[in-house]
Amino acid sequence: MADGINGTDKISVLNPVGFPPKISPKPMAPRLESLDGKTLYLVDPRFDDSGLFLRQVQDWFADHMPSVTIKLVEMSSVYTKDDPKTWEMIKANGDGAIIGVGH
Amino acid sequence: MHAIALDSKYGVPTVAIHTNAFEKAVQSVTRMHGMPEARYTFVPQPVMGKTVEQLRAYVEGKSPISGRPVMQEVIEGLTRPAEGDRIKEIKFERSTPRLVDSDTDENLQRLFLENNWTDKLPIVLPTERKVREMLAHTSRKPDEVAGHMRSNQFRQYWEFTVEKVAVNAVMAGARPEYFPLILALASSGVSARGSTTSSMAAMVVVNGPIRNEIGMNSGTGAMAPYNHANATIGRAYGLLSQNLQGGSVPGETFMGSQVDEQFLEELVRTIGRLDIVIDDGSHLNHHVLRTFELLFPRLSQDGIYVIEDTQTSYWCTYGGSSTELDRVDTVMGFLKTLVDGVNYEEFEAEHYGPSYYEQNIVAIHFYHNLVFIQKGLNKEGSNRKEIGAIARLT
Repeated sequence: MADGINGTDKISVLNPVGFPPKISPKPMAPRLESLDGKTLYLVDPRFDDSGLFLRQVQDWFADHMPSVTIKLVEMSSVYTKDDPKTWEMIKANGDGAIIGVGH
Repeated sequence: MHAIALDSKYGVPTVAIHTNAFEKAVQSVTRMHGMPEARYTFVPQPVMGKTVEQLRAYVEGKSPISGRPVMQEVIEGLTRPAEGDRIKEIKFERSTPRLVDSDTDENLQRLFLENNWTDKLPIVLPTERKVREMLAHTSRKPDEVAGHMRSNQFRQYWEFTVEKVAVNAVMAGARPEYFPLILALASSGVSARGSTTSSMAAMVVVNGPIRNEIGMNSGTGAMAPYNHANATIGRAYGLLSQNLQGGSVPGETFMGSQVDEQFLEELVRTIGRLDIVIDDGSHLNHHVLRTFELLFPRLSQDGIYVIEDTQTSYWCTYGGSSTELDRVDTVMGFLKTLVDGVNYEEFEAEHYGPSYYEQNIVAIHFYHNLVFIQKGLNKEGSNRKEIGAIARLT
């Protein structure tokens, strides 16, 4: 390749962009065969009106899937912070979770 | 993020519900965190301020992204097994190629411009020969890791090699003998392209023999574009910052809670100066008051603090009240307590000790659902003597 002698020559140049962080694949939890008889936690991240929204999700389950036990919980702090205690509690007592409205 | 952690780390099948405004962010975050099959659905933006009936319609409606019923996507997200297909799409190793596809000078200039790899001015194309010449001025190996950089604390660090720094130095038009200095700047890990909503520039102070060896100007006009070394080293620092940290796109913003003191402190520290604060956040009364408590003292003198949508001061769902209008835990009730303080110097009280707000608020403007608070040194002096003199004359 020429080094840019005239406007029609093709030039080989280097890419100036750095290297992104490596991504480690994360496993997904096994999915449930059915929601029948299961306990689902609705997790309110306490942003905007997410609690009000989740109560409508709760009502939807009561109307359409009454065999599902729904528990509505708030995150312990603001949504920007991790909440291991809540996650441990859900793991111990629940079969699945719905978080909303998430960011 | 929380849904990914709950799903992958704690083994709880989880579905996240987002508003459609976050579609791209959700796709990016789930991929970057290694879970492209993370389960989520969308409802329309916004959720805040909607009635119960409207929110129920969201739940019973369709995702504005997929067009499928929201609750169907929720149930499938909890029950449909992972397919493992999408995870194959991700490149888990370093994916930035060393070379750009060969092309003409004009086409490459356009490519670099369109990829946001430049400062919008023409660059010197980083050919193998020019990069090699740059690398000849360091003893470090081209593939040696030179450092890590990110635009703010919420982003992940990107990594770069000595050669990557040289590529950006060539693009800036720097001479090879400047390279040790440019490499030192890059290795500092301090970005010249930090995230900010204001216009800012990084300043570099160079000391030691190298400043004379490479002919830098440290005298008259040192900050002006009259010296090749000063100008191109500064340009190289900017280019390498935006390219080595993975891009620098204007318009991106800080995201955090308006009542997270740590976040706000970091925000103020990063942008350096607050001249205007506009609180158009959650509108919850306790949020608005806490944000005011945290940010007003950090506002620059003569700055302006604006609170929007003060109607929530009267709405009980936001912690307000339509009957107890002077309650100080409501926005309007609290702001009314500040009004007299604007005139504290006129109080007929010996040795009155003014509060911080009384000393630093010079004006409060109330409008329909909107309040402006002007910060300033509230020390004009009392009119009592003057008025007293007039009264005696009349």
